[in-house]
Amino acid sequence: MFSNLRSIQLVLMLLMVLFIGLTILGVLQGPADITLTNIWAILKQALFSTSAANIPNWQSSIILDVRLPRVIIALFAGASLALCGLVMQGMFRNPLASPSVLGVSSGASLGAVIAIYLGASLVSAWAIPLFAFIGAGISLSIVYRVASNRGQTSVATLLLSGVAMSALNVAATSLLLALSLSNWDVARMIIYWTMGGLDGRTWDHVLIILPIVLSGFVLLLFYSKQLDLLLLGEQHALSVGVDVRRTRRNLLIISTAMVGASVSVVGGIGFIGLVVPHIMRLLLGPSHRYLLAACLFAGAITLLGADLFLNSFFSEQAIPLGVVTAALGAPFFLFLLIKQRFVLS
Amino acid sequence: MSPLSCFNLAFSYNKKPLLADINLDFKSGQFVGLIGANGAGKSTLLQLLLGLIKQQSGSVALNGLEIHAQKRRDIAKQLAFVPQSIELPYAFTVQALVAMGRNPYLGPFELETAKDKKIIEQAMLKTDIAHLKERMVNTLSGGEKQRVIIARALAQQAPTILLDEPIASLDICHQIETLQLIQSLSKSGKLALTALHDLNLAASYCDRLILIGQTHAGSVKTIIADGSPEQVLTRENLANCFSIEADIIKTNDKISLANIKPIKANSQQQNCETHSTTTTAY
Repeated sequence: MFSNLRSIQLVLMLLMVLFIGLTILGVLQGPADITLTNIWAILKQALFSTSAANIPNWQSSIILDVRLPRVIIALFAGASLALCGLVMQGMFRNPLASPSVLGVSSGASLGAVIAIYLGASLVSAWAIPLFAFIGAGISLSIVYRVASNRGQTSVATLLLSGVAMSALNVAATSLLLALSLSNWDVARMIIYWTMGGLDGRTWDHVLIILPIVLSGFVLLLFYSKQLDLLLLGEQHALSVGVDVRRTRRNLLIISTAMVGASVSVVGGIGFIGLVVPHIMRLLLGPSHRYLLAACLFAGAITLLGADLFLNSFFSEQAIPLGVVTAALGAPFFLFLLIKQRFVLS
Repeated sequence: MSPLSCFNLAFSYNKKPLLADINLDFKSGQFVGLIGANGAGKSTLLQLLLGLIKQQSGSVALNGLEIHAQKRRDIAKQLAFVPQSIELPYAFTVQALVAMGRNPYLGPFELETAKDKKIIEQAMLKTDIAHLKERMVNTLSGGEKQRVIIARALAQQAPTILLDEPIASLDICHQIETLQLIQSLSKSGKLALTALHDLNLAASYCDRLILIGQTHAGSVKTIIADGSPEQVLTRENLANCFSIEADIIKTNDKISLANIKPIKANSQQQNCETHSTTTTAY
């Protein structure tokens, strides 16, 4: 839509402003009433270790140990899902690809549940993300092998193999849950984990998601040109000097690591990876030089926005985050499908 | 040193041998046409020469060095390719697409320099698409798209350019223009190797033709003839490889075919029918 540089800069600026604004709002807003001056004092105290006068302990722990990690996790999980969607859409040369549609998120969930079932999660906090990464990686490579034939992917095979992969992953997850019911401690952990969302997330979770998503983003920046070239197809990309096989393998590893990290922290949240890259591409054009940064901000904004929306209007109903993203994303997905049908016929 | 050559190349797909005994040597400044019936392996041979697929035996040498031992980036500086199908799911501008030809010369965060921009501009002028540079590629006609892809290959500034049926989707005027463009490239010292379907156009523009097809023995394809259009387009070769009969007319050193008729003879008809059944099976 906007191809000139000025409007691209404008969109990026706007995203950044929204990003900062929502972050501040996320810290300010919550079920507990804490005054603005107190929040400011608490943050100042945490940052510069100045001693602050008469702030109740419960207030500073709500800000520092509840709201702050929650906001950071929402930002980075959203960013990660959007970036992975962007990379997958580019790699498969198909606007319908995304972590949830291709069964990558459910693969990560299965991996995480296996980690809990085997008791590995008790040994190390990194067991769940590691197993999630492996699960996501296996799912994505299978879907990729099935769906691409010499660099071409057909929409039908791609979606069907994604559906089949998801079904298999979900079935295996249910099976593990059923098997674990004899051991209630394990079953409870699995059930609690599969609910996902942002409740009760701590700095431990931040330490998992933040380094992986940030380093993933930086690595993806190095691939922005190759991602553009891959959009033209394997033969074009090879012809202008892209080592397609290696590039694809590296992109697969980076994006599965990011999906693994976000799924192991917040669970499978659908459709952000589908919708956000799409809207950004409509606004900014297909060049990944801008799309990567735009998706980082927009994904973060979307997930944090959805969380804030639920917290302010439905705080008593405890509606899962995935419901909001699906309510917005699923109709959009159907719309894309209809649009593609017209293009294909 | 020859810019491109191959030695004893053999390739099988799904354990079925497709090509065997391919020996070729190219010189700079040649315009070479690659001809053969549908399914003769023209595209496969081009992809082997580009190192896009790997042969089971034999070798491909680019500037005397084995192609699979070289980095894609370095290969791209020597060898440009214009693929057959152009499918662009996302909208790039013409200029952005032509600029992608500069990729082998630029690092991951480097922008095009003034020199690169000049090369891009010239590539667009040469292919007559400069007036389209702000347009989105997916809104162009087939002929315009083809010229954009050729411009991208030119921007690569490679001494060798391979094209897979570049004129298949063009009208006759753009077909001639494209062939003239390729011819001018070869006159300026580049090696151009082009898969072509139209034998008359191949005969009138190419300096050298390579005919691939099957020998009498089996289904494996190999080089049947390699030489000037007059040496390659003989009645015998036309009958064996294309199952056609034609009058071969010679005017001013150029040959052309007229009165082209399919051959109904027994063995050839069988040949023809196996072809048609394989195509319907696809």
